Amino acid sequence: MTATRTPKTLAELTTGSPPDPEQWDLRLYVAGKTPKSVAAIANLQRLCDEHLAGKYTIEIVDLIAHPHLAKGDEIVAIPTLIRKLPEPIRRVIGDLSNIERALVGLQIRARE
Amino acid sequence: MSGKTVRPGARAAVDERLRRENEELRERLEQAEATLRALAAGDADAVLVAESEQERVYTLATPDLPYRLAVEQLPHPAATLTHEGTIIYANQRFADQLGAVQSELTGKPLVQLVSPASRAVFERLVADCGSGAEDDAQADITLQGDAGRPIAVRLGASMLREGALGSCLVVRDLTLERHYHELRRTQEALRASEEELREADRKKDEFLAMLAHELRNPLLPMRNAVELLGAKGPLAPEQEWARGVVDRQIRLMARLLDDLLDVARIARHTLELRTERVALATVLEAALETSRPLIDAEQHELTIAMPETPIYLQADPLRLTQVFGNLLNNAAKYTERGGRIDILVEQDGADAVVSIKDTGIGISAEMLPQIFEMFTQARQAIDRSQGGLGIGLSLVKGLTGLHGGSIEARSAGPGRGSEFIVRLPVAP
Repeated sequence: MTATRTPKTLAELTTGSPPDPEQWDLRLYVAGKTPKSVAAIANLQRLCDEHLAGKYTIEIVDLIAHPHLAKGDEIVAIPTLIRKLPEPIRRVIGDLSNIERALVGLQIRARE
Repeated sequence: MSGKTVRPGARAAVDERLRRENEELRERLEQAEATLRALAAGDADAVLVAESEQERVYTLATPDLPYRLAVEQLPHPAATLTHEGTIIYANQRFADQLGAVQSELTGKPLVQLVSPASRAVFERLVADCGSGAEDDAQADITLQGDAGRPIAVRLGASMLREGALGSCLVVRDLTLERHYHELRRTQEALRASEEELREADRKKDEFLAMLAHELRNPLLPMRNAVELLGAKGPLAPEQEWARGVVDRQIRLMARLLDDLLDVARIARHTLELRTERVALATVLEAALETSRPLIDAEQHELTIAMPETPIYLQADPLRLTQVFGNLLNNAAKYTERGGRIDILVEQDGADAVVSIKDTGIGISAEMLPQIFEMFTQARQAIDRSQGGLGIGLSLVKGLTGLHGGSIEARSAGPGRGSEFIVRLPVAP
Protein backbone atom coordinates (compact mmCIF):
# COMPACT_ATOMS: atom_id res chain seq x y z
CA MET A 1 0.00 0.00 0.00
CA THR A 2 1.19 3.46 -0.75
CA ALA A 3 -0.06 6.93 -0.02
CA THR A 4 -0.97 7.61 -3.66
CA ARG A 5 -4.67 7.12 -3.14
CA THR A 6 -6.98 9.88 -4.22
CA PRO A 7 -8.08 12.03 -1.32
CA LYS A 8 -11.61 11.22 -0.33
CA THR A 9 -12.77 13.79 2.13
CA LEU A 10 -14.57 16.88 0.94
CA ALA A 11 -12.30 19.03 3.04
CA GLU A 12 -9.25 17.71 1.29
CA LEU A 13 -10.84 18.08 -2.13
CA THR A 14 -11.76 21.69 -1.55
CA THR A 15 -8.61 22.88 0.14
CA GLY A 16 -6.32 20.55 -1.76
CA SER A 17 -4.01 20.63 1.18
CA PRO A 18 -2.23 17.41 2.19
CA PRO A 19 -3.17 15.81 5.51
CA ASP A 20 -1.38 17.25 8.47
CA PRO A 21 1.38 14.71 9.07
CA GLU A 22 1.67 16.07 12.56
CA GLN A 23 -1.85 14.93 13.46
CA TRP A 24 -2.68 11.26 14.05
CA ASP A 25 -6.29 10.35 14.71
CA LEU A 26 -6.59 6.78 15.86
CA ARG A 27 -9.65 4.79 16.75
CA LEU A 28 -9.42 1.49 18.58
CA TYR A 29 -12.32 -0.94 18.55
CA VAL A 30 -12.42 -3.25 21.54
CA ALA A 31 -14.83 -5.85 22.95
CA GLY A 32 -15.29 -5.13 26.63
CA LYS A 33 -12.54 -6.59 28.74
CA THR A 34 -11.33 -9.49 26.62
CA PRO A 35 -7.62 -10.09 27.24
CA LYS A 36 -6.65 -8.79 23.79
CA SER A 37 -8.85 -5.73 24.15
CA VAL A 38 -7.27 -4.83 27.45
CA ALA A 39 -3.80 -5.49 26.06
CA ALA A 40 -4.50 -3.48 22.93
CA ILE A 41 -5.50 -0.40 24.91
CA ALA A 42 -2.36 -0.56 27.02
CA ASN A 43 -0.07 -1.26 24.04
CA LEU A 44 -1.59 1.53 21.94
CA GLN A 45 -1.13 4.01 24.72
CA ARG A 46 2.50 3.02 25.08
CA LEU A 47 3.13 3.03 21.35
CA CYS A 48 1.70 6.54 20.97
CA ASP A 49 3.59 7.91 23.95
CA GLU A 50 6.82 6.57 22.55
CA HIS A 51 6.40 7.34 18.85
CA LEU A 52 3.73 9.99 18.38
CA ALA A 53 4.10 12.04 21.53
CA GLY A 54 2.01 15.25 21.44
CA LYS A 55 0.43 14.71 18.05
CA TYR A 56 -2.19 12.03 18.40
CA THR A 57 -5.73 11.49 19.57
CA ILE A 58 -7.09 8.10 20.57
CA GLU A 59 -10.74 7.19 20.48
CA ILE A 60 -11.68 3.89 22.06
CA VAL A 61 -14.95 2.29 21.01
CA ASP A 62 -16.31 -0.61 23.04
CA LEU A 63 -18.39 -2.66 20.61
CA ILE A 64 -19.98 -4.72 23.38
CA ALA A 65 -21.51 -1.52 24.76
CA HIS A 66 -22.09 0.13 21.35
CA PRO A 67 -22.14 -2.50 18.57
CA HIS A 68 -23.73 -0.11 16.04
CA LEU A 69 -20.69 2.22 16.14
CA ALA A 70 -18.73 -0.24 13.98
CA LYS A 71 -20.78 0.39 10.84
CA GLY A 72 -18.63 2.98 9.13
CA ASP A 73 -15.35 1.14 9.56
CA GLU A 74 -16.33 -2.39 8.45
CA ILE A 75 -15.08 -4.09 11.56
CA VAL A 76 -15.04 -7.88 11.68
CA ALA A 77 -12.26 -8.89 14.02
CA ILE A 78 -11.70 -7.24 17.38
CA PRO A 79 -9.50 -5.57 18.52
CA THR A 80 -8.96 -3.44 15.40
CA LEU A 81 -7.08 -0.19 15.27
CA ILE A 82 -8.06 2.28 12.55
CA ARG A 83 -5.82 5.12 11.46
CA LYS A 84 -8.29 7.81 10.45
CA LEU A 85 -5.64 10.44 9.93
CA PRO A 86 -3.33 10.82 8.18
CA GLU A 87 -5.12 9.49 5.13
CA PRO A 88 -5.45 6.95 3.75
CA ILE A 89 -7.25 4.85 6.31
CA ARG A 90 -5.14 1.99 7.64
CA ARG A 91 -6.10 -0.84 9.93
CA VAL A 92 -4.21 -3.15 12.27
CA ILE A 93 -5.90 -6.17 13.83
CA GLY A 94 -4.66 -7.60 17.12
CA ASP A 95 -3.51 -6.53 20.55
CA LEU A 96 -0.52 -4.53 19.19
CA SER A 97 1.82 -6.52 21.43
CA ASN A 98 4.22 -6.80 18.52
CA ILE A 99 5.22 -3.15 18.47
CA GLU A 100 7.29 -3.46 15.28
CA ARG A 101 4.41 -4.96 13.37
CA ALA A 102 2.05 -2.31 14.72
CA LEU A 103 4.40 0.51 13.70
CA VAL A 104 4.70 -0.89 10.17
CA GLY A 105 0.95 -1.42 9.98
CA LEU A 106 0.32 2.20 10.90
CA GLN A 107 3.13 3.25 8.58
CA ILE A 108 4.86 5.07 11.36
CA ARG A 109 7.82 2.98 10.29
CA ALA A 110 8.48 1.81 6.73
CA ARG A 111 8.11 -1.85 5.87
CA GLU A 112 11.48 -3.58 5.85
CA MET B 1 -11.84 -0.57 -35.11
CA SER B 2 -15.24 -2.26 -35.43
CA GLY B 3 -18.61 -0.60 -35.88
CA LYS B 4 -18.68 0.54 -32.39
CA THR B 5 -16.87 3.82 -32.06
CA VAL B 6 -15.83 5.24 -28.82
CA ARG B 7 -14.76 8.76 -28.33
CA PRO B 8 -11.20 8.94 -27.03
CA GLY B 9 -12.27 11.12 -24.12
CA ALA B 10 -14.99 8.72 -23.12
CA ARG B 11 -12.67 5.78 -23.41
CA ALA B 12 -10.16 7.39 -21.11
CA ALA B 13 -12.97 7.99 -18.61
CA VAL B 14 -14.01 4.33 -18.76
CA ASP B 15 -10.42 3.26 -18.31
CA GLU B 16 -10.08 5.53 -15.38
CA ARG B 17 -13.30 4.17 -13.82
CA LEU B 18 -12.21 0.59 -14.36
CA ARG B 19 -8.81 1.34 -12.97
CA ARG B 20 -10.33 2.89 -9.90
CA GLU B 21 -12.79 0.05 -9.42
CA ASN B 22 -9.99 -2.41 -9.82
CA GLU B 23 -7.91 -0.54 -7.27
CA GLU B 24 -10.78 -0.46 -4.82
CA LEU B 25 -11.49 -4.16 -5.26
CA ARG B 26 -7.82 -4.96 -4.76
CA GLU B 27 -7.81 -2.92 -1.64
CA ARG B 28 -10.92 -4.60 -0.27
CA LEU B 29 -9.47 -7.98 -1.09
CA GLU B 30 -6.28 -7.04 0.67
CA GLN B 31 -8.29 -5.89 3.68
CA ALA B 32 -10.29 -9.10 3.70
CA GLU B 33 -7.14 -11.15 3.43
CA ALA B 34 -5.52 -9.21 6.25
CA THR B 35 -8.56 -9.85 8.41
CA LEU B 36 -8.51 -13.56 7.58
CA ARG B 37 -4.79 -13.73 8.33
CA ALA B 38 -5.31 -12.00 11.66
CA LEU B 39 -8.15 -14.35 12.58
CA ALA B 40 -6.11 -17.38 11.58
CA ALA B 41 -3.15 -16.13 13.60
CA GLY B 42 -5.35 -15.62 16.64
CA ASP B 43 -4.72 -11.87 16.73
CA ALA B 44 -8.37 -11.21 17.55
CA ASP B 45 -10.33 -12.62 20.44
CA ALA B 46 -13.69 -11.21 19.44
CA VAL B 47 -15.68 -10.82 16.24
CA LEU B 48 -18.51 -8.58 15.22
CA VAL B 49 -21.36 -10.44 13.55
CA ALA B 50 -24.33 -8.85 11.83
CA GLU B 51 -27.43 -10.73 12.80
CA SER B 52 -30.60 -9.59 11.06
CA GLU B 53 -29.59 -5.96 10.76
CA GLN B 54 -28.09 -5.92 14.20
CA GLU B 55 -24.45 -6.25 15.15
CA ARG B 56 -23.41 -8.49 17.97
CA VAL B 57 -20.00 -9.08 19.44
CA TYR B 58 -18.88 -12.62 20.09
CA THR B 59 -15.79 -13.00 22.20
CA LEU B 60 -13.78 -16.16 22.71
CA ALA B 61 -15.26 -16.30 26.18
CA THR B 62 -18.87 -16.21 24.94
CA PRO B 63 -19.41 -19.88 24.03
CA ASP B 64 -17.73 -21.38 27.07
CA LEU B 65 -19.01 -18.79 29.52
CA PRO B 66 -21.60 -21.11 31.13
CA TYR B 67 -18.96 -23.81 31.73
CA ARG B 68 -16.43 -21.29 32.91
CA LEU B 69 -18.95 -19.96 35.43
CA ALA B 70 -19.63 -23.51 36.61
CA VAL B 71 -15.91 -24.14 37.14
CA GLU B 72 -15.56 -20.80 38.92
CA GLN B 73 -18.40 -21.76 41.24
CA LEU B 74 -16.58 -24.91 42.37
CA PRO B 75 -15.73 -24.76 46.05
CA HIS B 76 -12.24 -26.04 45.20
CA PRO B 77 -9.32 -24.78 43.18
CA ALA B 78 -9.54 -26.56 39.81
CA ALA B 79 -7.64 -26.61 36.54
CA THR B 80 -7.55 -28.48 33.25
CA LEU B 81 -4.19 -29.64 31.95
CA THR B 82 -2.77 -30.93 28.71
CA HIS B 83 -1.26 -34.42 28.68
CA GLU B 84 2.08 -32.79 29.37
CA GLY B 85 0.76 -30.99 32.42
CA THR B 86 0.45 -27.48 30.98
CA ILE B 87 -2.41 -25.45 32.41
CA ILE B 88 -5.21 -24.89 29.91
CA TYR B 89 -7.58 -23.21 32.29
CA ALA B 90 -7.42 -22.56 36.02
CA ASN B 91 -10.24 -21.11 38.06
CA GLN B 92 -9.93 -18.07 40.31
CA ARG B 93 -9.66 -20.19 43.47
CA PHE B 94 -6.69 -22.00 41.97
CA ALA B 95 -4.99 -18.66 41.29
CA ASP B 96 -5.91 -17.33 44.74
CA GLN B 97 -4.46 -20.33 46.49
CA LEU B 98 -1.15 -19.89 44.73
CA GLY B 99 -1.28 -16.12 44.97
CA ALA B 100 -1.04 -15.97 41.17
CA VAL B 101 -2.86 -13.94 38.51
CA GLN B 102 -5.50 -16.13 36.90
CA SER B 103 -4.93 -15.04 33.30
CA GLU B 104 -1.19 -15.69 33.64
CA LEU B 105 -1.65 -19.31 34.64
CA THR B 106 -2.88 -20.44 31.23
CA GLY B 107 -0.01 -21.97 29.29
CA LYS B 108 2.18 -22.43 32.34
CA PRO B 109 3.51 -25.92 33.08
CA LEU B 110 1.96 -26.78 36.43
CA VAL B 111 5.16 -28.52 37.51
CA GLN B 112 6.71 -25.07 37.92
CA LEU B 113 4.26 -24.44 40.74
CA VAL B 114 5.09 -27.68 42.53
CA SER B 115 7.75 -27.60 45.22
CA PRO B 116 10.93 -29.46 44.12
CA ALA B 117 10.45 -32.12 46.79
CA SER B 118 7.01 -32.99 45.44
CA ARG B 119 7.84 -32.94 41.73
CA ALA B 120 8.45 -36.67 41.40
CA VAL B 121 5.13 -37.45 43.04
CA PHE B 122 3.39 -34.88 40.87
CA GLU B 123 4.91 -36.18 37.64
CA ARG B 124 3.88 -39.72 38.51
CA LEU B 125 0.35 -38.46 39.13
CA VAL B 126 0.16 -36.76 35.74
CA ALA B 127 1.76 -39.75 34.01
CA ASP B 128 -0.62 -42.24 35.65
CA CYS B 129 -3.54 -40.11 34.67
CA GLY B 130 -2.26 -39.34 31.18
CA SER B 131 -1.48 -42.95 30.33
CA GLY B 132 -4.95 -43.94 31.37
CA ALA B 133 -3.46 -46.30 33.97
CA GLU B 134 -5.71 -44.64 36.46
CA ASP B 135 -8.85 -42.65 35.77
CA ASP B 136 -8.79 -41.07 39.16
CA ALA B 137 -5.50 -40.48 40.89
CA GLN B 138 -4.76 -38.63 44.10
CA ALA B 139 -1.59 -37.48 45.75
CA ASP B 140 -0.62 -35.26 48.65
CA ILE B 141 1.91 -32.76 47.43
CA THR B 142 3.25 -29.36 48.33
CA LEU B 143 2.65 -26.51 45.93
CA GLN B 144 4.75 -23.40 45.78
CA GLY B 145 2.76 -20.22 46.24
CA ASP B 146 3.94 -16.69 45.69
CA ALA B 147 7.34 -16.03 47.29
CA GLY B 148 7.90 -19.78 47.60
CA ARG B 149 5.21 -20.14 50.26
CA PRO B 150 4.57 -23.88 50.67
CA ILE B 151 0.96 -25.03 50.41
CA ALA B 152 0.14 -28.60 51.38
CA VAL B 153 -2.62 -29.89 49.13
CA ARG B 154 -4.23 -33.07 47.94
CA LEU B 155 -4.33 -33.16 44.17
CA GLY B 156 -7.04 -35.21 42.58
CA ALA B 157 -6.52 -35.73 38.86
CA SER B 158 -9.02 -37.33 36.56
CA MET B 159 -8.49 -38.27 32.96
CA LEU B 160 -10.52 -36.42 30.37
CA ARG B 161 -11.65 -38.97 27.82
CA GLU B 162 -13.22 -36.44 25.47
CA GLY B 163 -11.11 -34.68 22.91
CA ALA B 164 -7.45 -33.94 23.12
CA LEU B 165 -7.38 -32.45 26.57
CA GLY B 166 -5.34 -34.16 29.24
CA SER B 167 -6.76 -34.15 32.70
CA CYS B 168 -8.86 -32.26 35.10
CA LEU B 169 -7.27 -31.35 38.37
CA VAL B 170 -9.06 -30.58 41.58
CA VAL B 171 -7.06 -29.29 44.52
CA ARG B 172 -8.11 -29.84 48.07
CA ASP B 173 -6.42 -27.55 50.54
CA LEU B 174 -5.00 -29.72 53.27
CA THR B 175 -4.10 -26.69 55.37
CA LEU B 176 -7.76 -25.96 55.80
CA GLU B 177 -8.51 -29.61 56.29
CA ARG B 178 -5.84 -29.85 58.96
CA HIS B 179 -7.22 -26.83 60.77
CA TYR B 180 -10.65 -28.38 60.61
CA HIS B 181 -9.39 -31.68 61.99
CA GLU B 182 -7.55 -29.92 64.77
CA LEU B 183 -10.71 -28.06 65.66
CA ARG B 184 -12.65 -31.30 65.68
CA ARG B 185 -10.06 -32.94 67.92
CA THR B 186 -10.09 -30.01 70.36
CA GLN B 187 -13.85 -30.11 70.41
CA GLU B 188 -13.87 -33.82 71.14
CA ALA B 189 -11.28 -33.40 73.88
CA LEU B 190 -13.36 -30.63 75.42
CA ARG B 191 -16.45 -32.77 75.30
CA ALA B 192 -14.57 -35.66 76.92
CA SER B 193 -13.19 -33.49 79.71
CA GLU B 194 -16.62 -31.97 80.24
CA GLU B 195 -17.99 -35.49 80.59
CA GLU B 196 -15.20 -36.29 83.05
CA LEU B 197 -15.98 -33.18 85.07
CA ARG B 198 -19.64 -34.10 85.20
CA GLU B 199 -18.74 -37.58 86.35
CA ALA B 200 -16.37 -36.18 89.00
CA ASP B 201 -19.11 -33.83 90.18
CA ARG B 202 -21.55 -36.71 90.45
CA LYS B 203 -19.02 -38.72 92.44
CA LYS B 204 -18.44 -35.75 94.73
CA ASP B 205 -22.17 -35.47 95.47
CA GLU B 206 -22.29 -39.20 96.13
CA PHE B 207 -19.31 -38.95 98.42
CA LEU B 208 -20.78 -36.00 100.34
CA ALA B 209 -24.04 -37.83 100.90
CA MET B 210 -22.22 -40.88 102.16
CA LEU B 211 -19.90 -38.81 104.34
CA ALA B 212 -22.75 -36.88 105.97
CA HIS B 213 -24.61 -40.08 106.58
CA GLU B 214 -21.63 -41.86 108.11
CA LEU B 215 -20.68 -38.88 110.27
CA ARG B 216 -24.20 -38.49 111.60
CA ASN B 217 -24.46 -42.05 112.78
CA PRO B 218 -22.20 -41.66 115.86
CA LEU B 219 -23.98 -38.46 116.91
CA LEU B 220 -27.09 -40.10 118.30
CA PRO B 221 -25.29 -42.30 120.88
CA MET B 222 -23.10 -39.31 121.78
CA ARG B 223 -26.18 -37.18 122.44
CA ASN B 224 -27.76 -39.92 124.48
CA ALA B 225 -24.60 -40.15 126.55
CA VAL B 226 -24.55 -36.40 127.20
CA GLU B 227 -28.19 -36.40 128.23
CA LEU B 228 -27.53 -39.32 130.50
CA LEU B 229 -24.76 -37.29 132.09
CA GLY B 230 -27.20 -34.45 132.86
CA ALA B 231 -29.83 -36.80 134.24
CA LYS B 232 -27.44 -38.27 136.80
CA GLY B 233 -28.04 -35.46 139.25
CA PRO B 234 -26.21 -32.17 139.67
CA LEU B 235 -22.65 -31.98 138.36
CA ALA B 236 -19.74 -29.97 139.56
CA PRO B 237 -19.66 -26.53 137.82
CA GLU B 238 -16.70 -27.48 135.56
CA GLN B 239 -18.43 -30.75 134.65
CA GLU B 240 -21.68 -28.92 133.94
CA TRP B 241 -19.80 -26.47 131.71
CA ALA B 242 -18.10 -29.31 129.85
CA ARG B 243 -21.43 -31.11 129.36
CA GLY B 244 -22.92 -27.91 127.94
CA VAL B 245 -20.07 -27.51 125.45
CA VAL B 246 -20.36 -31.08 124.21
CA ASP B 247 -24.16 -30.81 123.99
CA ARG B 248 -24.06 -27.58 121.94
CA GLN B 249 -21.35 -28.81 119.64
CA ILE B 250 -23.18 -32.06 118.98
CA ARG B 251 -26.35 -30.13 118.06
CA LEU B 252 -24.38 -27.82 115.77
CA MET B 253 -22.67 -30.74 114.13
CA ALA B 254 -26.00 -32.52 113.63
CA ARG B 255 -27.41 -29.44 111.96
CA LEU B 256 -24.38 -29.04 109.67
CA LEU B 257 -24.54 -32.67 108.66
CA ASP B 258 -28.28 -32.42 107.99
CA ASP B 259 -27.64 -29.43 105.72
CA LEU B 260 -24.88 -31.28 103.94
CA LEU B 261 -27.09 -34.30 103.45
CA ASP B 262 -29.86 -32.10 102.04
CA VAL B 263 -27.54 -30.32 99.64
CA ALA B 264 -26.25 -33.67 98.41
CA ARG B 265 -29.84 -34.86 97.97
CA ILE B 266 -30.78 -31.76 95.97
CA ALA B 267 -27.73 -32.21 93.74
CA ARG B 268 -28.68 -35.83 93.13
CA HIS B 269 -32.36 -34.95 92.66
CA THR B 270 -33.37 -37.28 95.46
CA LEU B 271 -34.87 -34.73 97.82
CA GLU B 272 -38.65 -34.84 97.78
CA LEU B 273 -40.94 -32.10 99.02
CA ARG B 274 -44.06 -32.84 101.03
CA THR B 275 -46.12 -29.90 99.89
CA GLU B 276 -49.37 -28.64 101.35
CA ARG B 277 -51.32 -25.40 101.33
CA VAL B 278 -49.62 -23.29 103.95
CA ALA B 279 -49.71 -19.65 105.06
CA LEU B 280 -46.45 -17.82 104.48
CA ALA B 281 -46.89 -16.15 107.89
CA THR B 282 -46.94 -19.55 109.62
CA VAL B 283 -43.69 -20.55 107.92
CA LEU B 284 -41.99 -17.28 108.87
CA GLU B 285 -43.14 -17.63 112.48
CA ALA B 286 -41.68 -21.12 112.67
CA ALA B 287 -38.40 -19.86 111.17
CA LEU B 288 -38.26 -16.98 113.65
CA GLU B 289 -38.82 -19.40 116.48
CA THR B 290 -35.60 -21.26 115.63
CA SER B 291 -33.59 -18.10 114.98
CA ARG B 292 -34.94 -16.01 117.86
CA PRO B 293 -32.44 -17.26 120.45
CA LEU B 294 -29.48 -16.17 118.28
CA ILE B 295 -31.10 -12.84 117.33
CA ASP B 296 -31.84 -12.10 120.97
CA ALA B 297 -28.38 -13.20 122.09
CA GLU B 298 -26.84 -10.71 119.66
CA GLN B 299 -29.30 -8.03 120.78
CA HIS B 300 -30.43 -7.27 117.23
CA GLU B 301 -33.50 -5.18 116.59
CA LEU B 302 -36.06 -7.09 114.48
CA THR B 303 -38.96 -5.66 112.45
CA ILE B 304 -41.54 -7.53 110.39
CA ALA B 305 -43.85 -5.95 107.83
CA MET B 306 -46.59 -8.18 106.35
CA PRO B 307 -49.58 -7.43 104.10
CA GLU B 308 -52.97 -7.64 105.75
CA THR B 309 -54.36 -10.32 103.43
CA PRO B 310 -52.61 -13.58 104.20
CA ILE B 311 -50.52 -15.16 101.46
CA TYR B 312 -50.81 -18.89 100.90
CA LEU B 313 -48.24 -21.11 99.26
CA GLN B 314 -48.23 -24.67 98.02
CA ALA B 315 -45.05 -25.67 99.84
CA ASP B 316 -43.24 -28.04 102.15
CA PRO B 317 -43.55 -26.11 105.45
CA LEU B 318 -40.51 -27.78 107.06
CA ARG B 319 -38.24 -27.07 104.09
CA LEU B 320 -39.43 -23.53 103.71
CA THR B 321 -38.89 -22.96 107.43
CA GLN B 322 -35.34 -24.20 106.81
CA VAL B 323 -34.94 -21.59 104.03
CA PHE B 324 -36.01 -18.60 106.12
CA GLY B 325 -34.41 -19.97 109.31
CA ASN B 326 -31.10 -20.18 107.49
CA LEU B 327 -31.41 -16.64 106.12
CA LEU B 328 -32.38 -15.25 109.52
CA ASN B 329 -29.54 -17.13 111.22
CA ASN B 330 -27.09 -15.71 108.67
CA ALA B 331 -28.45 -12.21 109.21
CA ALA B 332 -28.02 -12.57 112.95
CA LYS B 333 -24.62 -14.25 112.64
CA TYR B 334 -23.03 -11.81 110.18
CA THR B 335 -24.23 -8.62 111.84
CA GLU B 336 -22.35 -6.91 114.62
CA ARG B 337 -24.03 -7.08 117.99
CA GLY B 338 -26.93 -4.69 118.33
CA GLY B 339 -27.66 -4.51 114.60
CA ARG B 340 -30.96 -4.45 112.81
CA ILE B 341 -32.87 -7.07 110.82
CA ASP B 342 -35.92 -6.13 108.75
CA ILE B 343 -38.32 -8.67 107.28
CA LEU B 344 -40.58 -7.33 104.54
CA VAL B 345 -43.28 -9.49 102.94
CA GLU B 346 -45.14 -8.38 99.83
CA GLN B 347 -47.19 -9.88 97.06
CA ASP B 348 -45.97 -9.03 93.57
CA GLY B 349 -48.42 -10.40 91.05
CA ALA B 350 -48.28 -14.19 91.24
CA ASP B 351 -45.22 -14.06 93.51
CA ALA B 352 -44.78 -13.74 97.24
CA VAL B 353 -41.66 -11.69 97.90
CA VAL B 354 -39.82 -11.97 101.21
CA SER B 355 -36.93 -9.63 101.86
CA ILE B 356 -34.60 -10.18 104.81
CA LYS B 357 -32.33 -7.20 105.24
CA ASP B 358 -29.59 -6.69 107.80
CA THR B 359 -27.09 -4.02 108.78
CA GLY B 360 -24.29 -6.59 108.85
CA ILE B 361 -20.87 -7.13 107.31
CA GLY B 362 -22.23 -7.08 103.78
CA ILE B 363 -20.91 -8.89 100.70
CA SER B 364 -18.19 -7.66 98.35
CA ALA B 365 -19.06 -7.24 94.68
CA GLU B 366 -16.76 -10.06 93.55
CA MET B 367 -18.25 -12.42 96.13
CA LEU B 368 -21.87 -11.65 95.27
CA PRO B 369 -22.23 -13.78 92.13
CA GLN B 370 -20.91 -16.93 93.82
CA ILE B 371 -22.48 -16.53 97.23
CA PHE B 372 -24.95 -19.37 96.59
CA GLU B 373 -22.28 -21.83 95.51
CA MET B 374 -21.33 -24.58 97.89
CA PHE B 375 -18.34 -24.01 100.18
CA THR B 376 -18.41 -20.28 99.56
CA GLN B 377 -18.62 -18.09 102.59
CA ALA B 378 -17.73 -14.64 103.66
CA ARG B 379 -14.26 -14.98 105.05
CA GLN B 380 -14.14 -11.77 106.97
CA ALA B 381 -15.28 -11.49 110.59
CA ILE B 382 -16.35 -15.03 111.06
CA ASP B 383 -16.28 -16.25 114.56
CA ARG B 384 -14.96 -19.78 114.08
CA SER B 385 -17.56 -21.31 116.34
CA GLN B 386 -20.24 -19.79 114.11
CA GLY B 387 -18.64 -20.75 110.82
CA GLY B 388 -20.13 -23.48 108.76
CA LEU B 389 -19.14 -25.36 105.65
CA GLY B 390 -20.61 -22.61 103.56
CA ILE B 391 -23.44 -24.84 102.49
CA GLY B 392 -26.24 -22.88 104.13
CA LEU B 393 -26.94 -20.56 101.19
CA SER B 394 -26.44 -23.34 98.70
CA LEU B 395 -29.12 -25.29 100.51
CA VAL B 396 -31.39 -22.23 100.65
CA LYS B 397 -31.08 -21.75 96.91
CA GLY B 398 -31.66 -25.43 96.20
CA LEU B 399 -34.78 -25.56 98.36
CA THR B 400 -36.16 -22.32 96.91
CA GLY B 401 -35.61 -23.73 93.43
CA LEU B 402 -37.44 -26.94 94.32
CA HIS B 403 -40.41 -24.76 95.28
CA GLY B 404 -40.40 -23.09 91.88
CA GLY B 405 -39.01 -19.90 93.36
CA SER B 406 -35.80 -17.91 93.20
CA ILE B 407 -33.43 -16.09 95.50
CA GLU B 408 -31.32 -13.01 94.98
CA ALA B 409 -28.63 -11.43 97.17
CA ARG B 410 -27.94 -7.70 97.25
CA SER B 411 -25.31 -5.73 99.09
CA ALA B 412 -23.84 -2.28 98.72
CA GLY B 413 -20.48 -3.77 99.73
CA PRO B 414 -18.48 -4.81 102.77
CA GLY B 415 -19.79 -3.30 106.01
CA ARG B 416 -22.96 -2.02 104.35
CA GLY B 417 -25.42 -4.80 105.11
CA SER B 418 -27.00 -7.50 102.97
CA GLU B 419 -30.44 -8.17 101.60
CA PHE B 420 -31.76 -11.56 100.54
CA ILE B 421 -34.91 -11.57 98.46
CA VAL B 422 -36.87 -14.81 98.08
CA ARG B 423 -39.64 -15.06 95.47
CA LEU B 424 -42.10 -17.93 95.67
CA PRO B 425 -45.20 -18.64 93.57
CA VAL B 426 -48.44 -17.92 95.41
CA ALA B 427 -50.88 -20.85 95.67
CA PRO B 428 -53.93 -20.37 93.42
